[in-house]
This record gives sequence, C-alpha cells and structure tokens, in this order.
Amino acid sequence: MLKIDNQINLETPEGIDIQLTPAGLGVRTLAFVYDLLIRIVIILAAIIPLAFAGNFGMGIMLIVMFLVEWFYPVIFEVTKGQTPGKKSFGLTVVYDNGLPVNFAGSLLRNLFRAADFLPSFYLLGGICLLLSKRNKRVGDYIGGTMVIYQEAPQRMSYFSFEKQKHIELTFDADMQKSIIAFAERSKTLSAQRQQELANILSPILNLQGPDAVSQLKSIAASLVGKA
Amino acid sequence: MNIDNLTLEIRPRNSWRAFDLGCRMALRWYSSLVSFWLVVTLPVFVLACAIDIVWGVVAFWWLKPLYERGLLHILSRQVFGETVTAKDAIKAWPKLLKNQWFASITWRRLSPTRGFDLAIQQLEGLEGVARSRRLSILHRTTDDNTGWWTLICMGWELVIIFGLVALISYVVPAGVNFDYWQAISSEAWGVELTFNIFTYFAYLIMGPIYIAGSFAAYLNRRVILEGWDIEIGFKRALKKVVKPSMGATLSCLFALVLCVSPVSETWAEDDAQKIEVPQFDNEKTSELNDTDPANQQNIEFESEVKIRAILDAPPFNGQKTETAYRWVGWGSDDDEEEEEKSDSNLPPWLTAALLFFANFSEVLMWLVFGIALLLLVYLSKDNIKGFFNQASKQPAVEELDMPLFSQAYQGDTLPDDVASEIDLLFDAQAYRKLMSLMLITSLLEISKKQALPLTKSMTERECLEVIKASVVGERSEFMQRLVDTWVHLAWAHEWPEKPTMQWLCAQWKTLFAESEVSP
Repeated sequence: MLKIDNQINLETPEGIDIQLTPAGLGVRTLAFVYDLLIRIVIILAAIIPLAFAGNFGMGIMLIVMFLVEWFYPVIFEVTKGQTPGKKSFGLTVVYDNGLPVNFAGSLLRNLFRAADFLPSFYLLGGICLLLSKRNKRVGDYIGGTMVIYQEAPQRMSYFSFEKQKHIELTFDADMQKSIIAFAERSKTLSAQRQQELANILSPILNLQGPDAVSQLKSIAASLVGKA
Repeated sequence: MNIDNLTLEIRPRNSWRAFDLGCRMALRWYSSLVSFWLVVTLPVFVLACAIDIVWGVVAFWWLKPLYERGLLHILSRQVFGETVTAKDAIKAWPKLLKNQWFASITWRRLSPTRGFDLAIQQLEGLEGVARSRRLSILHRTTDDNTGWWTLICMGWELVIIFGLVALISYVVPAGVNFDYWQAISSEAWGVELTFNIFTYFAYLIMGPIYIAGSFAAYLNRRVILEGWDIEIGFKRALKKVVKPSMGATLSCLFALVLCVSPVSETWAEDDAQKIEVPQFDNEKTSELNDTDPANQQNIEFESEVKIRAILDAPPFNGQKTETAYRWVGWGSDDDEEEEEKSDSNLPPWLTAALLFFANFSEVLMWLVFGIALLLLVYLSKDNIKGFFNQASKQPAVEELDMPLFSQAYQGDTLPDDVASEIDLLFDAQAYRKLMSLMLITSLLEISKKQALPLTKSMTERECLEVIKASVVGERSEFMQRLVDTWVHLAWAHEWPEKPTMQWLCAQWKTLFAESEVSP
C-alpha cells in the first residue's frame, strides 16, 4: 500500500522529479485570517478620512472596498507570488505544473472565491480543500493553481567531528543524505540514541557504540567537504 | 512499536506540514474513525439532548476528550500498519477511559494543546512529573503550533455550524421570513434541537481531523527528536549492501549485535500494545539527564544561562525588561497642541478644506475618466477605422472611373451587340456617337485585362499616356489613332474622312470584337 504523504512529485520532461508540498487547511486558514486583518485595516484607514466627505466619500469608499476585496490578492500574487499573509507562513501560489502564477490564473482563482464562500464562511472551499490531494479549493481547480510551501534554501548546519582513519566504502545518494542528516542533527539527539543509530550500520562499519558514531561523523564531514 | 511498519512517509516536517499529513491520515481511515465516533457518541448525544436541550449539549461538548481517546487508539495502531476496525476500537474504549479520565475532563479540558498532550498520557502512559517533563521537551521548539491547530479546528467547527444554518436560509422558499441571527438566538425547542444536530455534525467531521492532526504533530516531534528518518535510511542502506553479498549470515550477526548492545534494549523490544518511550521511567528519573533526547536541549538551556550571565556583566549590562504598560506621554509638546485642536469638533477652515478637497478630487476624477476614455479611443483607432471601412471598401474595388470625355455616347446603357451597333452607326454616318461608343468599349475591354489608373478629370491625351504605358502593340496604335480622330472631331470639328472611319471600325472589330463586351 502506498505510504501516506502530503508531498507530491512533478515530473519534468527531462525525467526529473520536483517535490512540492501543497499547503493544507491549518496554515491556509491562518494565512487567510492574516490577510483579512490587513484588508480590514486598509478599509478602516480609508473610511476614517472619507467619512467626512459625504456622498463623495461614500462612493470612493465603495470603490476602495471593491478593489481591496477582489484585487488585493491578485496584485500580490502576480507581483510577488504570495499575499502578505501567505508570505508570513512561507506559502506561494503556483500553477499545477509548478510555474509561478500570472494574472489570468490569479484572477480566476480569486474571482471564484465567491464559489468557495458558499454557503457561508468558505465552507465549500474548506471541504474541497480537505478532500483534494493537492489541497485545492474551487478557485484553485478553475484557475489550475495550487498553494505550496516555499522550500527554504537548505543550509549546512555545523557539527563537530574527529578525523578517523579512512574507510573505503561506497554509498548511494540516499545513504549519503542519511549520514549527513545524522551528523547535522546529532546536536538534538541524545548520546545513547546516536549510538543506537550508528549501531545499525555496524555490519558495514565493523565498529560499535561511540566509535561508530565518530566514524559516521567523520564520513559525513568528508561527504560535505570538511575533511 | 516498529518504525519499519510505519504507513507514513517519514521525513522531518515543520508543524504545519505535520497537520496536513494528519488530515491525509484522517481521510485514509475516515470510515473507521467516523463509525467509532457515531456508535460511541450518538447515544450520549441523544441522552444529553433528552435531559436538557441547552446544557445537555454543553455537557456533551465537555466530555469530548473522552471520546477522542478512541480516535487516537485507532490512529496510533493504523499508523504502524495494524488494521483496527471501529468494532475493535469500541471494545478497547472502556479500558482507555480509566487512565487519568478525571484530569482530562476537568483542568486539562480547556488546554489549547489537549490533542497533542493526549498522546503522551494515552500512548506513553506517563503521569505527574514525568508527564510534564516529557511535555516540556516535546513543546520546546519555536515550531510548536499545536495551540493554533486547536483554535483552527474550533473555528472550522463554527464555520460548519453557521454554514449549515446559511444553507437552510438558502432553501427556505421565497415569502417565508427567515432571519439568520434570530434563528441562531431563538430559544424554541425545535430550533435548539436543529442547532444541536448541526453542532454534533460539526464535531463528527472535525473530531477525527483534529485528533489526527495533533497526533501527526506528535509523531513529527518524535521523528525530529529521535531521528526516525535516519534510522529508516540506515536500515534501508544496510539491506542494499548486505543482501547481494553476504545475505543471511550478516543479518544474523546484526540481530545478535542489536541484542547484545545494552543501549538498544529498549528499542529492540517490540511492544505493539503501547508506543513506549525508551528513556522515561518513573523510578529512574535520575538517569533522565543522560538518557533522554532532551539531554542536548538541556545543554542548550545551560548555554542560554551562560549567555545571559555574560550579557549581565559590565560591557553589556544595563538592560531592563519591563512587562507592564507605563505612560510615556505624547512624543512632544507640539503633538499635544494638535491633539487639543482636533478635539474641538472640526474647525470651520478644516471643513472648508475638506470640502474643497472633495470638489477638487471630483473634478480630477472626471478629468481622469475623460482622459482615459479618449486614450482608449485613441489606442483603438485602427480597430474603429476598420469597423467603419468594411462596408464601403468592397464596391470601390470594382468601379472603374471612366474619363468624362467618353460620356458623349448618348445611350444610357451599352448595346448588347456592339459590333452591329457600330455598323449601324457607320451607315448612318453618326461618327461622333460611333467614336464615343468605340472609346468606351475599348477602354472597358483594356481595363478588363489590366488595371488602368483612370480618373474622371483626365483629358484624352492623359488617358492615352496611361494606355500607352500599359498597353503595347496593335491596340496601342489603334487607341492612338482613335483618340487623335476623336480630338480632331470633338475639339476642332474636323469631320473625319470615310476611309479613316472604315479602318477604325474594322480595326475595332478585329481587336475587341472576339472578346465581346458585355456591359
């Protein structure tokens, strides 16, 4: 049976898989609330001076409300790929093929918020989002878009090691990743747990306990180019 | 607990992704989760509503943590590949209730992290100090959003309730008065019951999602703290290396190593009944510091203390944190004066200024609108032109502008048989008419073969120039002769001689007659 995952693979014509993680209910709810608060602040800031201008002010206010309601997300998504709310949670709007969204897609997905809103407070949108593998609401289906987590650039994290004698071993890419992850995250693992993990590899390393740990860290250091 | 049996794709995630994974988990096992929930809670709900329509449902809501234990039971086993049906869960449920049930529905009921914490008390079976220490380790991260998750799920419960009320308002027939807010605040028995059913429905949908999200966040914390993904990666790599070469012998050796190794004892135990925490044990709390994954976190905590000590020393000290609010006054004196001014209910000059601004901007807006409109027209001028030209262009191509001098022919329409008409006119010696006819027909004939840029105002000579430019050979010679004779007749009134006319007629017939002119 397929393992449960919230990440999707997009295959490019060159046969390369690109991993994207669609953003789900929780984070998008909060991002929406964040944007809603900003919109309310903008509208309030417009209302206060316009309240003095009588019918003229009323007219302007209606225009402002219309523009803010419908074009606030469009403008931010087209120019930046994310509204301020989405940005604060590290989300981006992209097309289904992973390309950045442009005016047509953004306008469609935002105009069809009206459908998501039914019957009230985005109930339909929420249900649709929950049932969809790519966490799409109605507007996303129509615009052919999705909201994904922006992958933060990977940083090498510091780890201390002692140089051990070189062992001739070949590792595939997954294994190399695991070893590097082991070394980098050893700060958050207890010494015992580190030894447990290293002992798994003792048939290959012919070492055990603390020796295996330091040997693995040394290998990791050579893999990341430290030694 | 055997990590290899996990039905989840294990990788370290941030808390939001963990909640998303939880939603996927909930949907995968929704049928057993929902049927468990229905069987257990529906009787309670009916009973509660029968006792008191308002407070009954509050009591039902208050007891929610007890039903949620069953959901966690299902999820925690399904995750490790064990199939749990709703029936199994219902059988196991009474046993699950014994453990710390009182705390769950009293002081822990309103805790925002209740879903996350449930895993520690139910699956790890921790109590008292051990529980709170364990909790502090699991929550000690900047990426702890379990409280938010509780709030979000509560929010969606409300959304579902109000959404259903709104749905009713949509299907109420026209003419029936339906007041949204009155429906919510009404105290009629039927309305209250409907409202309670909606509430129950909302819990039915969100309950599994909430617990699954919280459980996924809990698992994710353990993945990060204990390196489950690394363990899986190592084991997978080992399998790849060992299988082709040495096979069984080494794996036996490996198993032996694992058994002998003292530290791996707790991990080698495979107790499917309980997700146990290897490092925690009430009796051995003294060992906590060097056995649990939080050991490193403690070191971080110590270093934080050290850093703070350095920051308090001479070059850095003098920093003070105030947590209470204190009046610091308006920025400056000017501000205070302005404050007073604006207090006095809008001075007249300000009103005037605002009015002026309003009028000014109205004019400005109309100007902008007008300019935009003009600009629009200007930019689309080609389109507009094309739109108007469509109708008049096509006939213009067909029409040939005959020079005015050729209009001397009196007949309105050209005769059907031009050749016989010519003979007739020749016999009648109506040379003027004859030559006019010949001019028109020959020009028409030539213009059929090739475009002649003729205009109405052309004189005979200009016309001849044009013809000579595009026509060569006999036709050109004939036209020269014809026009010459015509000019002599028309302008000098020299009556042409009969042989000339005869030659012209004969020539016309040979040159043009075979391609008969059809007007």
